[in-house]
Amino acid sequence: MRQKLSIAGFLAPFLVLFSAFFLLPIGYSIYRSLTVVERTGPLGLGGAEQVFGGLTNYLWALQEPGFLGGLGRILLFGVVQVPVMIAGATLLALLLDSASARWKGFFRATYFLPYGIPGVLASILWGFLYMPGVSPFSELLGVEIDFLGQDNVLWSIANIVTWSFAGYNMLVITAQLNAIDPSLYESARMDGANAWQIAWHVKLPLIRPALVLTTVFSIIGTLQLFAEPMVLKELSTAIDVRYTPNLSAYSEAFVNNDYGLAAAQAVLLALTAFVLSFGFLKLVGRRGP
Amino acid sequence: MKTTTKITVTALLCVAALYFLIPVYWLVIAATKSTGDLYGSSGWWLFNPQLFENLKQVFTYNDGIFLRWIGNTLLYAGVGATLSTWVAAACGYALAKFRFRGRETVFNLVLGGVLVPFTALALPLYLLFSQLGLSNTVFAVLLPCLVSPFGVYLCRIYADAAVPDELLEAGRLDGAGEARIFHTVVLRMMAPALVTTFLFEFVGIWNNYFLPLVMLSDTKLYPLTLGLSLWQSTADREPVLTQLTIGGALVSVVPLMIAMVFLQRFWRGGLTEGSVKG
Amino acid sequence: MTGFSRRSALRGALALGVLAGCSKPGGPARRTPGPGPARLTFWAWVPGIEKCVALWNSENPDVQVTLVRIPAARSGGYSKFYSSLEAGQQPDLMHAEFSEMPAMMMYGGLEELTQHGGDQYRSLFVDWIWQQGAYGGGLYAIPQASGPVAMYYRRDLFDKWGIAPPRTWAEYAKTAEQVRSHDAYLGTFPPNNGQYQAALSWQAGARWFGTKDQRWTVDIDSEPTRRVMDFWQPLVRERLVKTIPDSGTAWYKDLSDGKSVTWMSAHWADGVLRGGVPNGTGKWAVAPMPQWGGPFVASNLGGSSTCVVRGTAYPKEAMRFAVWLNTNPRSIALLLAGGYGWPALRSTDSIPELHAPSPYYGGQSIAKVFGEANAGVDTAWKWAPITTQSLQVLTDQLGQAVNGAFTLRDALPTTQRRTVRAMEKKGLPLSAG
Repeated sequence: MRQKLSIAGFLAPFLVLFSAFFLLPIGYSIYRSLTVVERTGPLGLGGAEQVFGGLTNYLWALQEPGFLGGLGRILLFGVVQVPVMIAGATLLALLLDSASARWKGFFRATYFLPYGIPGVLASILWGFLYMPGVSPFSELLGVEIDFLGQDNVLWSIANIVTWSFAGYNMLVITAQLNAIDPSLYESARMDGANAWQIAWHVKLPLIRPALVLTTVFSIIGTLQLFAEPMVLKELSTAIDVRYTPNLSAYSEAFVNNDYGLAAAQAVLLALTAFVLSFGFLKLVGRRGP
Repeated sequence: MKTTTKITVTALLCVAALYFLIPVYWLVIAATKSTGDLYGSSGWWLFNPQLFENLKQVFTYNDGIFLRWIGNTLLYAGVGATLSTWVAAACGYALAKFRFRGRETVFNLVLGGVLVPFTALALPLYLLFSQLGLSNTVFAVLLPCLVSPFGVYLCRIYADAAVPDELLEAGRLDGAGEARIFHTVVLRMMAPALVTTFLFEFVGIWNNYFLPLVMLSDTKLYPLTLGLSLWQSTADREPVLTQLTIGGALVSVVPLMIAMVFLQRFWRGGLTEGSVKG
Repeated sequence: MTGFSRRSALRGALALGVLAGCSKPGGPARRTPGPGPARLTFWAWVPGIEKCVALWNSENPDVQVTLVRIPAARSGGYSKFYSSLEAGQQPDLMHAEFSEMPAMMMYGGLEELTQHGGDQYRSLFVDWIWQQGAYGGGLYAIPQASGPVAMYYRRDLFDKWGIAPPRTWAEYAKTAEQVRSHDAYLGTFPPNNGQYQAALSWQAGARWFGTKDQRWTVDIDSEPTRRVMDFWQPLVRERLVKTIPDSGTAWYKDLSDGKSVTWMSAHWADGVLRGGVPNGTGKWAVAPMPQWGGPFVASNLGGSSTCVVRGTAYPKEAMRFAVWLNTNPRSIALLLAGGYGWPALRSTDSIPELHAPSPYYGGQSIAKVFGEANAGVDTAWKWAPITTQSLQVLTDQLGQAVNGAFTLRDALPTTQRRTVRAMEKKGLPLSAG
């Protein structure tokens, strides 16, 4: 009995907060996603009433080409950006871990430093670097590169995300590398393996858990993409208010004031995140030992 | 052969370093320029530098509101991260070290929480806090930040691995209460995970843009991210604000980058435990 | 365990009830006045307006106004206002553009003012601007400023190249070609700026929104708008004008480098231009907007009002402040210094600051051009409750069009269709016609 009380005591602060600031709002969002507004009076200005609308909002969300388009766009984004970033982070971690590397502390710190810059500020910063007429890259190359044009802007955003998070992911992988027992390398070297073979055959399999973790978090982060396109939208004609699902839901809720539709979109996005994350974990789980 | 490898590796590392540093270099250069020179001169080199004039303007504009934003950010991130770490530690510890019905349900619920898009939370939270009369107050930003599902996850994994059952039993035999055991013994053993959770939360709150955007109408309560984006968004009406945004970004980014450099080693321990078990 | 979950379910249901109960789509309930002086909260983002509020507070101890600076319009200001309505935390006074007021009415956010004697002030203001706040027989705003449109141009470069500012749109197209031969652009066609696109169509005689038999009408895909789009199509295709977003850094750079030599904009843009292009002193001048032919017609871009918010405990005091703010010469002088727009007053003679010649424009008194423009605005234009959404669709479509996906004119049917759908989704009655 006493133990039950103390368990409750440990769990209570989190569970109360979690219920109040997570479950309750989610419940309310689901409730609102099932309601629509009916207006009365001349010009519809007489008054309004919230009524049960069934799945109307979900049908709207799915029929709206913009929302599904945004979802498709970030899936494409994720399929390209996440592997590139994780591969890059892994490469950097392995290079830093190799015996040939020098000034390890400096490099590691340098790669990690963008993680401390909030997404909004990182996007403002890269926004200047992309801007036609201001971009120092265009100035350097002597040709105007259309970073913010229709074809490129998605990859310009991918670059911001990679810049921000590659170092962080590298650090997670490095941590795992450091935990590997060095005697394993010794025995591999005895067997005649070179540095490259050790990295590929010994290190890589052992850092698998870190790769899985960083990949899952990157998938979730990708689905929730918001600050970067939000900031760049001001600079690029190629980004519209439905560019990503979160941007869609945001503009439905806070610009168009359609909380029902926004809530439906948020619910659909959460479901997608569940399916993809657990799908990925299932996939690597099956192929695992 | 050996030297070639060394050179290749170092060269690769240098190229990567350039990639991460160039935007920061540009920011430093741009922060020294006047509004006119920002558009009118090369982005790579200094041109009529006036950094101190610009910074003075950043700190004095609108009665020095920028300083308040810095203070607010430290308050939200500092207090929020401290409390949320404690909350997550207690919960993670209980999930790891006690057997009770519904344990896995709770844990899965917590994991699911990581996946919820913030747009689904922000509006209802705003309505909730308004009902309580707490919107547009410090609490509206602080309280929701105390929930850290990822922190719970980390703490559970770490407690599982690093807190031996025997020690707890010994404490209990000595007649110590559970709360006492937790605060004196367990927290100390979980220190690496706590530091990681704290830093994670600190960065998370400092990064947070959406929640304060929705909750706060008083600019005096704004954190830095919101304040700077306010400046940026009004720059088409008051063009000088572009320069202030750049200067403000420099001031807010540099200390954090330095902090990252010194704190990076703390990112190791805890996360490894998490990923090993994950 | 079951007891716990039942209790928590009950608690959850109660809390949900609280949340559900707090949304009153009909508009917030009337607050009760407190003791002491009337205390009003005013949300606005106009630069310099805090000085007006301070002046009012020093002269009116019985009505004290607190100014809260909010992000501008669609950068977050309106979102904040709508969320506050939903939560019952709304201010007493709200700054709003003409184009957003119908939406604010729809959400029950604006106090109807004829019931408080608001009609008595009608004669003080320009009639078409007054009408921007009048819908369905009610009055919802005290006008503050309008945005008569004219053409800012680089007189020094025009003189150097021996070109005159175009008086008609046909001349505009020819001038665009001439300017290209000097490695510069005549101007920008900003696909991102829906208000600007509306202003171009407004001048051509379009009426995108209207009301008929107490129902809304939508007429975006109409002859005048098609004419505007067809005019810009070849200029965009041949790259005779720029198609970047306006008011961005790159766009300012073009203006200050003399790479883009005109800017079609409102009177309020004067302050923006002087601030954003500080090296332009003495180089710029203002000419009337190019014409389609026939009697002189200008247009309006932006324009805003001070609205009394439904639910305030002091509607009369709030209205009195709003009228003072927008008619008192000292208040207007302060607003003008911040660059707020063209006063909505019928007579601007009492405001010498407005008519002063400006060294930035080489001693030209630009008020003359803008005063004529203000008198030449088509007065029948109306906005609708889904303006923002509609302009978003338009700008998304135009963005794709300038990138070559389809023609500018093709953007119109989609915009029309999706605007109608958006109104249906909002539950607004639509006229079939």
